[in-house]
Amino acid sequence: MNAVGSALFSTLCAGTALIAKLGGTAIYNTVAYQGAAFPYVLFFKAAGVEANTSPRRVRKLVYAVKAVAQDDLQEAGEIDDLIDSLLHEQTLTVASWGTYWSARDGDISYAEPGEGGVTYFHRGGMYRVWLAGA
Amino acid sequence: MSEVSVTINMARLEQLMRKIPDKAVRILHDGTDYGKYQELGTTKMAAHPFMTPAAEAVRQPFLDGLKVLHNIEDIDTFVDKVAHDAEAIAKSTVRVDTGRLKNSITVSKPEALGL
Repeated sequence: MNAVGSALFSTLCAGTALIAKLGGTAIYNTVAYQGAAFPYVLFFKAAGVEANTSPRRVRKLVYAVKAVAQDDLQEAGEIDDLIDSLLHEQTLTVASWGTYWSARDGDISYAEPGEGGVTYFHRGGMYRVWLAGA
Repeated sequence: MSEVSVTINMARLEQLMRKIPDKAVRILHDGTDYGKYQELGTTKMAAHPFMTPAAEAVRQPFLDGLKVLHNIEDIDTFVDKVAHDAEAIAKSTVRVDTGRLKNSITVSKPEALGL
């Protein structure tokens, strides 16, 4: 399923408003590197199941895609909106697969207390991706 | 011309309706303050989802089960069973260090959580 990660990365990188807001392609899969500057976007696979309802292979995946900002709730929310405009009910191009549905399924919203009184705000969504064999 | 005669047994109907719960809701949750960090990650740590995989694993069986549920008064029992199936999956998926998070995963009715 690396293809989905690549597709998400490509789709997010193609969002010029998002890249401008982040000040570059600060988009990471699974974990940001240590010392990465804020804000950034992080995505990871949260769940994946096989449909097994027909001979054609269908996978139902859930990806978490979120903004992480330091001491700036407003900024995290604005980035979340930009992510949403790129992923909700949009077509992903996934190598070797036909994507036939992708949509936001729920929100991610929490604050993480850091050292020295810093607060990291996580804002984003759980995105459902249905893949069918090409 | 044909006629059909229908007799409604109101006493029986009311008896049945009393057995149907207003709503059948169960909430799968953990009882720690750090469960969300395991589920969704932090700036220092990758996420290790355990609730989302559990919910996704029971989603289709739940929908399939609803289609074959014969007695509507059994809906509460059915929802309870699915929630406990999800609980078992979450407990088998969650990362274990001290076991506190795993042991805190449980199913509750909304009223038990003050909801």
